Amino acid sequence: MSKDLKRALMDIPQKPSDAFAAIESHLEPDNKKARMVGLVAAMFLLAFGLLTYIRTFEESSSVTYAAAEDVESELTYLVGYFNGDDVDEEFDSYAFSSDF
Amino acid sequence: MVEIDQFTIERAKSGDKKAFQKLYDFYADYVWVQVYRTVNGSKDDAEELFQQIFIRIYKKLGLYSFKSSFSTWIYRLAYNVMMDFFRKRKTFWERFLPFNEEQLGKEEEEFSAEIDQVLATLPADERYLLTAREVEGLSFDELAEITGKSAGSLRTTIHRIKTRLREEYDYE
Repeated sequence: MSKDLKRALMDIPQKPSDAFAAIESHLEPDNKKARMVGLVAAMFLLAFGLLTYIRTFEESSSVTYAAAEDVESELTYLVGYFNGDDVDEEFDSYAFSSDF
Repeated sequence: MVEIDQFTIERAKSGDKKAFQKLYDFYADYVWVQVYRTVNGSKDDAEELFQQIFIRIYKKLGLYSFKSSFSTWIYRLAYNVMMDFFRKRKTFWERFLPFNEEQLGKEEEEFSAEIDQVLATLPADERYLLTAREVEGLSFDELAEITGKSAGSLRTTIHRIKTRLREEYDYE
């Protein structure tokens, strides 16, 4: 009498009873690792954003200095104004105005 | 081929662990027979591969698009994991020792049953084909979809294996 191939192939030990727990334990670290990578990436982006903001703020609030010749020309004009050096010029200008 | 309900697949795809456990409970016995018989000889290797297959299923679930049956998708994934295992091991043996295909899978344990000794004379992919066809009754079209080979060549291969098992070992 021939031997039953299907029965012989099916005659194997039971699968390990704790197999699913072992599989599940391999799935968790990946989730944790993914969360950790996400956290580190978020922290990096936050730090980069903050640094960029601080740098931009520092650049926009930096003091700008006027050139010495500009200051000198402005002072000369003021001195002339207070001394009345330009009064004759102003009379000439007002002479052409219809209100006078 | 046995199929689990679509609702469970959808839930498992969305990361529901309970749905994945239900899926595992449904397919574990089928996958275990395939793995154990394909590895043939080392229970440790079979357990390791069995775990790898379900971890891979969990990770790849999001890619399942309902184009093929879910069973075919799972069996194809399991087949690929097993064949990768044998390819890597073959490379190892070829690199460090003169390769002997019959050695694969039996270096850790001695075969106890006659069927183990008979299967040891077959390459791993043929052990898989024989188990999937005889134990689970997969059709040649299903096997073709799983292995990527033509149904005609698979029919010829199975016929050759069964003829040999019948003539040399009296298995029907």
